[in-house]
Amino acid sequence: MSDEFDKLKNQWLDAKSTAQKSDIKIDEVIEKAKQNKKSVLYAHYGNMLILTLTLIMISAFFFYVTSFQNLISKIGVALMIGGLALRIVIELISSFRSRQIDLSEHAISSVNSSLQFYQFRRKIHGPVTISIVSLYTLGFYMLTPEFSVYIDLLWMIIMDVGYVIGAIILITVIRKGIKKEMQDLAQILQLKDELVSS
Amino acid sequence: MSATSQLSFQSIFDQYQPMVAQMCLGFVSGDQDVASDLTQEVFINTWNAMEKFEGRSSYKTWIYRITINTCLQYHRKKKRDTHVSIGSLESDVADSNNTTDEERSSELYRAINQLGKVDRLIIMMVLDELEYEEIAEVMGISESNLRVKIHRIKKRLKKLMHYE
Repeated sequence: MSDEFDKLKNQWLDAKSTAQKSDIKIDEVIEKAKQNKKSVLYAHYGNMLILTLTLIMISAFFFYVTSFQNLISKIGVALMIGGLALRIVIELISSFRSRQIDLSEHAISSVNSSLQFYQFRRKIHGPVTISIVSLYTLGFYMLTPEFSVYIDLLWMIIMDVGYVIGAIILITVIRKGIKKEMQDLAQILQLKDELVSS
Repeated sequence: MSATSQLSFQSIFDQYQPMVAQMCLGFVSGDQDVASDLTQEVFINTWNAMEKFEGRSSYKTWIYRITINTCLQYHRKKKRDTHVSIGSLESDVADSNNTTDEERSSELYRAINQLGKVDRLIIMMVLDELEYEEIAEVMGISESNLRVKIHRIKKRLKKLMHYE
């Protein structure tokens, strides 16, 4: 088997000349690396910015425009704002964890970091996301009794139905993302098995 | 990035680009375009990791680690494992007594591609004449486990290359 493998080795070393035909330029690599770094940062801070602005706008709307009087409405506002704030915190943790995946570590270590990240995401997608959405929805509907005092029935119906439609669209988008991440998790688990098995 | 890191990157790029290119080529069954993109991705990841390099290992094993992880990440993202049947591969190899060097390389890459993704990466490091100790360090597995794996992969590869 040794001779045959030596033959293969020689074939591999001969093939190096073909591989060297690659026309990658170092300047292009550096430029792309810098661009990638920028776009990752923009995406990260952009997401945080959008969520934070939404939180500020909703808070300002509730405190300065509507200024609810009923206790139920005030609890509703707290649930909605709290849910959104929790979501921002989770995004921050998630982003921090994703940056812990180090491709310069050995393969098992890198796979373990990825595994921890996706297992964390699985936890978030399960009970945490369901709780946030439920609290937010509960909060929203807790506002309706006081809203109905000032708003026509027709607008109340539009608002409530609109919320349901919005929620369905959002849940569909989230589910798609979850499915993709869970596929990634399954693949990482399989990869880990392949790495550790003999 | 500091000027020293930039210089180090330049030197890594010059020294290891052929190795990375061939590993990528072997990982994607000899597809030059995909391998070129993957090679670029490896060096982008290397650039991003430059400041984290602490000198605990040699640049050589460090760049191999980035190459292996980038290939595995690529595989996960693209989910494009090639499913060429062994039968079709064997007929290709059997008809290739008078082939050129380039065709012979393609045969080798295709044979390697019949292996699982982890086996593929391990055997390419063996072919690249890396010490078993270094390969074990790159993969993060024990040397004894690696030896068992290599023995199994060699047998399979021999079969695929029609040496048996």
